[in-house]
Amino acid sequence: MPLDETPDEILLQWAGRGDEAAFTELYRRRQGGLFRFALQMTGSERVAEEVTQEVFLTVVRAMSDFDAGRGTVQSWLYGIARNCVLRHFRREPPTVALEEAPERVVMADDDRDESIAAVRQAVLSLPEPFREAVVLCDLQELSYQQAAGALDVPIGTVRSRLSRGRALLAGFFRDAAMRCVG
Amino acid sequence: MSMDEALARLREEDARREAPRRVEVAVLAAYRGYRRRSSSRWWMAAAAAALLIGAVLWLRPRATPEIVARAPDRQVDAAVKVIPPERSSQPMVSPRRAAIRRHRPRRTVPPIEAQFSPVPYAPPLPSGEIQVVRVRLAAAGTQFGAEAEVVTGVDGIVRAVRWIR
Repeated sequence: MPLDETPDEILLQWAGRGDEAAFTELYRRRQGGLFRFALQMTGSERVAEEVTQEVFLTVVRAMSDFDAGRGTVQSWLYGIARNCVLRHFRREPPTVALEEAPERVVMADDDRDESIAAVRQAVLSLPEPFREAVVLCDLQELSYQQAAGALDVPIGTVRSRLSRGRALLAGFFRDAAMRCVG
Repeated sequence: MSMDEALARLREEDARREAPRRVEVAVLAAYRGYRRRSSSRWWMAAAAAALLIGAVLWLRPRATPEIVARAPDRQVDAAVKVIPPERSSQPMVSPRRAAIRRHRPRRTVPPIEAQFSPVPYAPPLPSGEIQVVRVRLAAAGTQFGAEAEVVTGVDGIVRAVRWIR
């Protein structure tokens, strides 16, 4: 079986036995998603870089900690990334508060960059539990079950947090639209 | 732009973003270092175990080599297996039981010289050291044997025997 078709669980097992090619394949397959998750959670490329590195250093040290009975390797990796992000928040508390919600979310297509920056800011302004759910399910497109594995909560909790996060985002969008019209 | 569209745009925008190459280099270096360390740790543990086994084998009491002697009182050859003197073969006794045992009247044991039967027609003991050796006499071709202690002089000839089993 070629490495790029090998499931994560097998790659992790091989990597644990010293197969560097398997570890490299696992890294290349998953680093992008983890980097984006950290970026969308923190808004900082530097932190996203640190988190990605920290996740894989943890994997190197604790490959045997993975329990296939508790979820997929992908969920496990997102769980480690989430813990790294939370540790970062404890060290450097985020400065964006709900009151500082983005001014301009609804914009014309011509200023796309600004529009994306505003959407990113809107996501960053969500409280952490709701942001996690929105980033994992809507931006990283993980299933509810995978998100539940990563967040170590029941699926119902993921659904309710996602619903609440979307409602908050929709509120930001509505307010921004009202401001634009006004 | 709806919320779903906005999130889709952000998702699309970020889709190409990934960790820089230096992260991969650092992670792979850490992986190699960890594998090297754990493999050298394994070898060190194996070497320590081998040393320990070697030390145990070196220090354990050596078995006395088998010797073959001629039993002076028999016409047939008998294999004589010399057994090292027994170490304390008494089982562990609790202090209370030991105290009871101390107060028990001792059975009368005949003197040591009376327990040995002299070997008939053996030459007189030459002056010098005598040895008491425990031997197992195995009749040729059989698995049965008897254990005894024999008294020999410096010339190695058996002068007396005490049957153990």
